[in-house]
Amino acid sequence: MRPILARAEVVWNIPLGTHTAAICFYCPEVASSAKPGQFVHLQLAPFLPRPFSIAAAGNGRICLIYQVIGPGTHDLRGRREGHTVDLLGPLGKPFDPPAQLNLVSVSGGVGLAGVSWLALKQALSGRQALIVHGQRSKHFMDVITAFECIRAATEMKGPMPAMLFATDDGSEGLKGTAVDLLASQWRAGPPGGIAVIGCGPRPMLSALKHFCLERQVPCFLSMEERMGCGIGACLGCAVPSASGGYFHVCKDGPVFPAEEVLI
Amino acid sequence: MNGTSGIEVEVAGLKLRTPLIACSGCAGFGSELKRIGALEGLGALCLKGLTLEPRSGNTPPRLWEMPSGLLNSIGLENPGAQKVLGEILPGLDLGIPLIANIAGNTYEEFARLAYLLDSVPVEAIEVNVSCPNVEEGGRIFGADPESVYKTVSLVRGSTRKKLFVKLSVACQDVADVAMAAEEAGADALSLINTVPAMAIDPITLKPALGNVSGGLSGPAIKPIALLAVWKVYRVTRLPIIGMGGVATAQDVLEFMAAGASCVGLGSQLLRDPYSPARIAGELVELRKRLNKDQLKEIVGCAHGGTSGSTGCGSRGRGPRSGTACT
Ligand SMILES: Cc1cc2nc3c(=O)[nH]c(=O)nc-3n(C[C@H](O)[C@H](O)[C@H](O)COP(=O)(O)OP(=O)(O)OC[C@H]3O[C@@H](n4cnc5c(N)ncnc54)[C@H](O)[C@@H]3O)c2cc1C
Ligand SMILES: Cc1cc2nc3c(=O)[nH]c(=O)nc-3n(C[C@H](O)[C@H](O)[C@H](O)COP(=O)(O)O)c2cc1C
Ligand code: FES
Repeated sequence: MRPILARAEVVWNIPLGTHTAAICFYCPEVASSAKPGQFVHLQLAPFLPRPFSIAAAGNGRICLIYQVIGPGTHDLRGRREGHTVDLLGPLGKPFDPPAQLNLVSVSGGVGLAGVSWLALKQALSGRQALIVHGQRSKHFMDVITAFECIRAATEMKGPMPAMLFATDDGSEGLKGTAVDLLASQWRAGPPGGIAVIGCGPRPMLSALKHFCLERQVPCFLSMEERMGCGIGACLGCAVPSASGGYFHVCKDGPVFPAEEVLI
Repeated sequence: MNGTSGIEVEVAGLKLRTPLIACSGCAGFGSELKRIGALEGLGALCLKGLTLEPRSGNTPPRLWEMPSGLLNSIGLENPGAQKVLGEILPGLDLGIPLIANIAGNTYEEFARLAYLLDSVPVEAIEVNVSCPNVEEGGRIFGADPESVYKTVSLVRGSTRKKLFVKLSVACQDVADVAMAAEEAGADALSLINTVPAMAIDPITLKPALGNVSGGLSGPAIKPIALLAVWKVYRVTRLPIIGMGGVATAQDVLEFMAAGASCVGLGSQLLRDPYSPARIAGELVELRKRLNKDQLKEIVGCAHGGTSGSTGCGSRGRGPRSGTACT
C-alpha cells in the first residue's frame, strides 16, 4: 500500500458554498489502495504541495472537499474537467476505531472531509453512524450536495449516516459548534458503545478531546499541520505528543488517539 | 542510471552515478524515499543532521511557505547518536553512498560525533557549521574562519572518513571561511545552508514560525548560492557540492558552470520526491546537446570568460571576484 505519484484527471469540480468546493479525480492507482483517514498531496501552483483528506474513494475515483483559502486552493478551484493534477498518495495512517462500536463523527468546517468517508462507509455496512457537523453558516457548504456527489462518483449505494447540524450564526440546526451539539445530544441521553472521530479547527478538536476523555469515550482525531514532504522525511509537520516530544502528522497521523496528542 | 550515462561524477574520491545528492534534512534517513520508490536518480544521500543527544526539535509551526521557497525551523530534531548509530544506520540499505551530517553545540561535540561515525558505513561526514556555539555566545561556528578552522581541525583529527564542510553565507566572506576549511583538512565543501530569515503571519501579525527565526531555502536563494559557489571555486581547490534552490536540470548546469562538481537537492525533494530521476534523465539529454562526453567537463566553465566561452578559468588561490559594489 505504498504511496505513488499519479497524474489524476479531474472528473468534476463543483462549488458547495461561497468558498468551498468538492473535486473528483479519476486516479485508480491511488483510489484502489486508499483508506478512510488518509490524505493526498497535490502539486499545485505554489512551491510546496498541499495536503487534502480523502473525503471518499472508490470506483477509480478520489473525492476531496476543500475550502478556497489561499493560492493553492485557488489554483485547485480553477481546475476543470479533463485537467490533470499530480497527486501523491495515499499518505498517512488510516482510522482504526474499535470495530464493534457505533461511530459518531464530529467535524467543523471542511474538517468534514477528514471524517466523512469512515462515517459513510460505516453506514453502508449496516452499522450505526452519526455525523455531527458544525460550520459558520448554512451558506458555507452544502453538505447534502457534497455527499450526493461523492457517493455517486465512488458508487456508494445504501443507507446514509444520520446527520445533525450546528452553525455559528444559527442559520441551520443548533446555534453553536459541533461539540456544543454533541454535548446537547448527550444531555438528552448518553449513547452507549460509541467511538468518536473528529476533524476540524484546533480549538474544536481540543474541546472534543476533553469532552470525550471526561466521559471515557474512545476518540480519534484527524490533525492538520503545515506540511513539507508529506512522507515523514522533513519533520516539518510536528504536533506535540502528550508524552513529550512531537509526532509528525504525515507519518504518525493524521489520525491520533485523542489522549496521545497535546492540544 | 547505468555506468555510461556520462553524468557520473567523482567528489573527493566518492564515485556518484549522478551529480545529484539529497540534501541533509530533506530526505530523512533515506528510508522514507526508499519506501515510495524515489531513490532513483540520486547519486548519494545526506542523512538528517545528527547531534550527540536526542533533540525533539522546535515549537511548531516549523514550516512557512515563501515566494519561491520555504522557511523552516525544524530545530535539528533527531533521535541522537546512540539510536542512529545503533538502530537506524545498520538497517539502511539504500544502494547509494551515504553521507552523515553532524551538528554540535561545542567543538568537543563535533569531534566526538566524528569519532563515533568513523566506524559506521557512511562514505563521508558533512560538518554543519551553521549551528550556534554555546561556549562562545551562541554565534554560529561558520560565522568566522577561525572557528571553522578549529572545528574542522578537531573533526579531522577524530575520523578517517572524508570530510565535507557545509558552509553558510551568514558570515563576513564565505571565501575566507572556505579557505579556513581547506587548510584545516576538509575534502570537499557543501554550500549553501539555508539563509537566516523570518516571516510575519499576515493574519495575526506575529512571527509565523514557532521559533521566530528560520532558514530560507528553495529557488529564492539560488542566486545567493550561485555567487557563493563562484567565489569559493576561485579561492580553493576543493570540490564543491552546490546547493540552494536547485529544482531543474538547467539549475544543475548553472551550478556546475559556477564551479560545483555536483549539486544538492533540498526543498525540491519536498515539492516532488521523484524529481531526481527526472532531472537525471534531463541531464543525460543536456550533456548530449552540449556535445560533452562527460557532464563534468563543464565544471567551472563560467570562470573562463564571459557568457559563451568555455574553459575552466582560474581555480584555487586565484584572484577573488564577485565582490563588487552594487
Ligand atoms: C492532513 C491534512 C488534511 C487536510 N485536508 C483538508 C481538506 O480535506 N480540505 C481542505 O480544505 N483543507 C484541508 N487541509 C488544509 C489544506 O491543506 C490547506 O488549507 C491548504 O494547504 C491551503 O493552501 P493554500 O495555498 O490555498 O493557502 P495558504 O496560503 O497556504 O494557507 C492559507 C491559510 O490556511 C492555513 N493553512 C495552510 N496550510 C495548512 C495546513 N497544512 N494545515 C492547517 N492550516 C493550514 C493557514 O492558516 C494559512 O493562513 C488539510 C491539511 C492537512 C495537513
Ligand atoms: C526542512 C529542511 C531541513 C533541513 N535540515 C538540515 C539539517 O539537518 N542539516 C543541514 O546541514 N542542513 C539542513 N537543511 C538545509 C539543506 O540541507 C540545504 O542546505 C538548504 O535547504 C538549501 O538547499 P535547497 O534550496 O535545495 O533546499 C535543511 C533544509 C530544509 C528545507
Ligand atoms: S511533512 Fe515532512 S515530515 Fe511531515
